[in-house]
Amino acid sequence: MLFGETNYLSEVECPMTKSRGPALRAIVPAMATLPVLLGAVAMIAASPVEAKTLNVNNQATCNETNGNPNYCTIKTAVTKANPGDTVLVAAGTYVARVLINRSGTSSAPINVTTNQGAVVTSTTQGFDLSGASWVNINGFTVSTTTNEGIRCTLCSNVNLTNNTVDHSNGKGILITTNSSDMVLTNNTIQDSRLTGIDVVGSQRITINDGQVLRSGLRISTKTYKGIRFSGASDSTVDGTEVADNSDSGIYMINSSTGIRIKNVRSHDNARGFERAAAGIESRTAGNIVESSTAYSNEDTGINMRWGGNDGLIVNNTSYSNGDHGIDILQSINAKVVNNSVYNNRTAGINVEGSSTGATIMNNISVDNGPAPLIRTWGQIRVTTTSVPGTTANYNLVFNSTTGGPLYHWNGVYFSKLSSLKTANQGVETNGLQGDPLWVNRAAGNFHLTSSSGAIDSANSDAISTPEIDKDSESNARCDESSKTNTGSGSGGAFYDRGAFEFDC
Amino acid sequence: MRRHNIYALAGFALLLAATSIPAEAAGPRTNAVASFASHDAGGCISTETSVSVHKAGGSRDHLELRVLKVDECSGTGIIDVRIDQSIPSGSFRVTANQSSAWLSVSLPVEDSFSRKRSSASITIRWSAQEEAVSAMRSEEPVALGKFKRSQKAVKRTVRISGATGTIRLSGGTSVALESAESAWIGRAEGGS
Repeated sequence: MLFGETNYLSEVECPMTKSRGPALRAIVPAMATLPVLLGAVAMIAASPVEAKTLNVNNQATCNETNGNPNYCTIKTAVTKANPGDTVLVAAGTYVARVLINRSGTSSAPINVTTNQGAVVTSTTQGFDLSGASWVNINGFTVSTTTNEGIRCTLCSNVNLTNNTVDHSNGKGILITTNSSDMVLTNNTIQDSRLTGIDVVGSQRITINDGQVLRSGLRISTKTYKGIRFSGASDSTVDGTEVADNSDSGIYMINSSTGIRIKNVRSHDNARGFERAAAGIESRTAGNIVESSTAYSNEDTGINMRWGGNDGLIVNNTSYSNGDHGIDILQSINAKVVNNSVYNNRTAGINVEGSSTGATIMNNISVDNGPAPLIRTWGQIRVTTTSVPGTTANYNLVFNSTTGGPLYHWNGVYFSKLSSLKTANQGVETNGLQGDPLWVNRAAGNFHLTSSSGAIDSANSDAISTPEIDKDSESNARCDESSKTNTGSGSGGAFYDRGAFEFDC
Repeated sequence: MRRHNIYALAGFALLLAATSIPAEAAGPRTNAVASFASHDAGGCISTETSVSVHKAGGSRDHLELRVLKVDECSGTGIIDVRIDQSIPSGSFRVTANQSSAWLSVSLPVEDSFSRKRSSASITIRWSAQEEAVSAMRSEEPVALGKFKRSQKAVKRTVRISGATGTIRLSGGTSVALESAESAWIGRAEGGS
């Protein structure tokens, strides 16, 4: 038996109960038969129960009596559902909280689904999953709830798929109190009054695809993040668009660790009245931002700040943000590798505030910090307090504007990479200065063209983890035959700089 | 019922009992979690506080706490205090039905921004707002964001709560913890 299946076992009529007397008499002569009996009981208990469909419609013909063809409310149908059953909801608006405190099993989950776009609304939560496991919620529109659109308390193995949570007056989706092993796929959460998706004190939560849009209000004290992890671990956001929220798009805080942000598009997140909303931000250790795009955010594209230690930022593009492309602030041991950074308002890749031990390698950083100067300049900037233990090499930097200097290292500005190398032995020994010849940077296309110096010139040992072996589109690194390999590393000297491997 | 039937029945019962009671059944463990977030009226100064306190049977209670106060507009850190340590017995109390919990403790701390050492006096009260939710699980939380897998099933019970409190740092700084963003009182039984 898997944990979380107790509801199933307690609610299925057990044949052993009815036959206890005869069974006991049978084993009296010889206890040796006990294992056989227990095995038989186990087989009976494990025998499949016929799954049924519980139809719900709220038309005049509905009837709440058990066994009738149509229940009037989702809630009632759910209370009748056993493992393997499907609660199938017809079109209509259902006004009541749907409390789900029953569980399916790994092989027979309870499905609550609509293929006709049923709408759920409530003066509390829309769906309230409480201690539930092995439950699937599919296809609903949850609209204008007073509290959370969907709340999961102490849930496990719950899947939320193809739902829209719209105009929740609370959080769009709240996953809390040690929930685990949940998958959210292709949901749209929009116009929530509070955080779009909030994962609190939970683990192994996967958010795939979908959108999180316009969370909170652009009013002081009413701003909210798109997706937030608080006290969460080992979770992933993959392929989700996070945009137009009134605070940072994705945010990690309160000991959240092992969070992987991957293939995300985070853009146009802004408070509107002050520059403080980032595309993606971690204020806690051990998180990864990978193969994502952050653009047109009010503050920095990708932030590791105030304790975002041991972070990995790899294969991302970050452009046209209101502050840095990538910012490491008071966070040690950051690894910033193979990113493409362009046209951000201040220094492209910024490492400051005693953020020692950083690795800045294989990046392309272009046209950041255009004139007039505000705050900071440079395609790459490492302040004096962050120089100890920091490695910067194999980056390609370029400035086609009339803006500020190319590089800021240890308190000194450099307009030429050669000057930086001369003044700081071991810094950017293999760095390049020149136009990376992106396909169309103005249009946000940072793929390389065939003459780019970024091709076959990176260090494949910049990090020891496998993220470096594929590019931002999961293409394997490849050796362009027409180019001389000028890179290095045990993986091969042919890896390209930047987020995209030239198609070879 | 004949005598040998009674003996057999007793033996059967004992056998079942022996196979169903965990050899190392663990005592109940309680915990309480709360997180708070606020901005000043101007919106630049954010204060985020997370608290996770565990009472684990015979071992000492454990507190994990972080207060992070920053100026998000200027990128300036103001307070960053972290606690991750055992606390004296009696500092953390939970009622039997998990209707409320209290944390009251004073500990030495260091602000990682200013590097100043001080004493933090922490008082937090949790009050349950919802009925208990229980489930059998294979893991239990041991700290914020950290979970321990158990060989045996763990009965976990949580009550969504409200929480309020104060953290006073010697030197006059005080952080008011008002209307927790999320909070709960938890209990774990069984497992190993």
